Amino acid sequence: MSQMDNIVEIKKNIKKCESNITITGIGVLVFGLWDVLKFIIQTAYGSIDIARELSEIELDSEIDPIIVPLITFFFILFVSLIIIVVHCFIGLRAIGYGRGIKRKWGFLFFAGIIAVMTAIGIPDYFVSRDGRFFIDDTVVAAALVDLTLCYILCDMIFSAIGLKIFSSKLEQEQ
Amino acid sequence: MTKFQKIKNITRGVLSIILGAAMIKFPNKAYVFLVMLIGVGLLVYGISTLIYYFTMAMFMVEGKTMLYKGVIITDFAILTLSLADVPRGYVMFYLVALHAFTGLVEILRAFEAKRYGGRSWRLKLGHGLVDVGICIFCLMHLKNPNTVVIIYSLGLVYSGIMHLISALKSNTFVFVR
Amino acid sequence: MQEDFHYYATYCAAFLAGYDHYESLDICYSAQFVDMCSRTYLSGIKARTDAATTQLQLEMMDARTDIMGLQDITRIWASFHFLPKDLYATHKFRTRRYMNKYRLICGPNSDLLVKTVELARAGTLQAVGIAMHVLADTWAHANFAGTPSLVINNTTPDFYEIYTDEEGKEVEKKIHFRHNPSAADDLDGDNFTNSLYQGNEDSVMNLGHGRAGHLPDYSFIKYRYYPAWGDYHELIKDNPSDYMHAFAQMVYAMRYLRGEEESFEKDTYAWDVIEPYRERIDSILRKRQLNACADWKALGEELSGREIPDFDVNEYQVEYELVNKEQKREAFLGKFIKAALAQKGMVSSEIYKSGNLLGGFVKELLIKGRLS
Repeated sequence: MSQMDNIVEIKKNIKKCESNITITGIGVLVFGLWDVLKFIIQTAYGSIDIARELSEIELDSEIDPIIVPLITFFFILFVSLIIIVVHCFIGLRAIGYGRGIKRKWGFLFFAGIIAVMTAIGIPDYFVSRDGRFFIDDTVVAAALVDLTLCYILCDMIFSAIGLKIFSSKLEQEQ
Repeated sequence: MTKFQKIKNITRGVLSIILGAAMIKFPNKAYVFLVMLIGVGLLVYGISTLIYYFTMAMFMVEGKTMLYKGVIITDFAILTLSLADVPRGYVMFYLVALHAFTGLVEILRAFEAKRYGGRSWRLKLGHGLVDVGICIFCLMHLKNPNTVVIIYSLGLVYSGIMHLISALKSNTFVFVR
Repeated sequence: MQEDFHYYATYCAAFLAGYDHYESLDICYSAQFVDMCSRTYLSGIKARTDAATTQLQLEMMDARTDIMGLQDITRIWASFHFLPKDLYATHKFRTRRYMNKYRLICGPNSDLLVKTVELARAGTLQAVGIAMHVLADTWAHANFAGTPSLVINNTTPDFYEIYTDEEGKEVEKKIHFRHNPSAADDLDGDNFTNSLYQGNEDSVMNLGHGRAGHLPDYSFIKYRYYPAWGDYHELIKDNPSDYMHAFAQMVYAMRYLRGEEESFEKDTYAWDVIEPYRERIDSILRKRQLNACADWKALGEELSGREIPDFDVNEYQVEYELVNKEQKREAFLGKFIKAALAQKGMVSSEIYKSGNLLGGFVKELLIKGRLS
């Protein structure tokens, strides 16, 4: 392969990596919505029971009945915002990175954390509240969705590494 | 809008109206049918997208979009189908959220149409805002499933009417020869 | 390509090839008429609608996209506007379904182009005009396919115009697209219209060069982009050079059709014939304008010393409608229809012979029997 062919091939791979990073960035944005939805369902319908958690806290006096729903509401809002902000940060930075607008690595660190946390959380789907193994169609479906998110995040990270390698190779060739 | 898209829109509109009416008439049963219909529809679409990816789109620049689209849709299809046998509250929340998402997409499409000089952007924006408004209203009455079902059903009927209007009006068609 | 090249430039090429003024008018009229001869027009004059050489916007909106509909669309567009470059192209690790569409990618100097020109040799001036339209479009519409296909005709949004600045350096600037059908392309503000992304493989919006807008039809522009089939390799489209080649090849082809050349060879051009006018032609091609009709018309009138009438789609309609059935074949439009059917049949037959069913099934009798 001549040097010209080498450069063409490297440029092609760079473009491929950039495209991958952009697409996975969009995927992460979409999954942000799913994570928020999942969290709200879990809070509203029982698996995360804020009222029960609050009732286990020992206080000197009885709490006002309005406090529990208020705390629940603000808790849901706060966590939802964090989920959205983190996904938007990773997704939008990835899109910018892929399009060559901003070449900052920071978002990949968060992408890695989310990927690891999601992967660790997948087995928990199959454990019921009393600690026994549990499987049904809802659980399998939810696990599949999280697995897809892990795959997208890993694709993003590997593409970013690939982009760095090919960019260095291009500099060497030129 | 091509002829095929108009037929699709009309079918979707008529189906939405029928399902909305059915859910008002049979609030405890009709939603299961709706969920199954959405689930099967998404599953067929998701799997056909994956087949398309492996036979065609994987050779296309930025074709991975099809892979992720297919996987995400299939995941959501399986999730939707799995909701048929869970308490009505979960299902209604999921349906409401899906409806909100559709509303948001409609709002984004309205802004896009406005940017590109399309004439029907106000209609799209109104449709999207009403969809989102209905969902907020549903969320406010989340503890009362019967109320949520009725509000959601009315929203479905409204959506169906909007799809019919959209299919029957003339629209611009950007085709570069 | 547009009217400026198909009508006026073809007139110039025909005259330079040795045709007289009236013959050149017949040829260039036929070349431009290929972009007008739709089913709607043909049914209006009660002619055979299967001779259609184009489809109107309204016809595209109503077009079926099942297999029969796709074959119908492909037969028209691949035969007249996007002549396939290599029906037997190979590509590793691609499915049969993908290759059927890949093999329909248009490009200049193909075996099919040789067949198109040779088919016109035994025909009329109308056949010459059709062949010149097809030839010219192989240069302008290269790298797109005349069949609806997302995986072939889509592009990324990265289009960059390459131009020479005042210091003589080659620089580039990003091209911005919008989807406003009512606004003309803004050459100064670099705002061009293209068709919206459609994720459906067989959508009519994925036919031809819609995703590149009208860029392939502007002779002045040089640009780079990433076609969907290109595997992330960028493609540079140099329209001034391509249009110059198209013009020179048209002159060569028409000299062959007049009998002044023994054979029609690929990648051969009449540079010597156009040399005295090359600079003038180059300046027309490179002038940044939406429409070069006036410039080409001026050149054509200088060459022949005669006035070139504006193109009128209804010019021969009355003649065709008034003659009786037996004489319709000898009318201008009758000859055009015959030549169009021959061209469509030839291309569809070649696509079918290559094992590709996207052009539909073709009865050999149609080519050998009825059209002779």
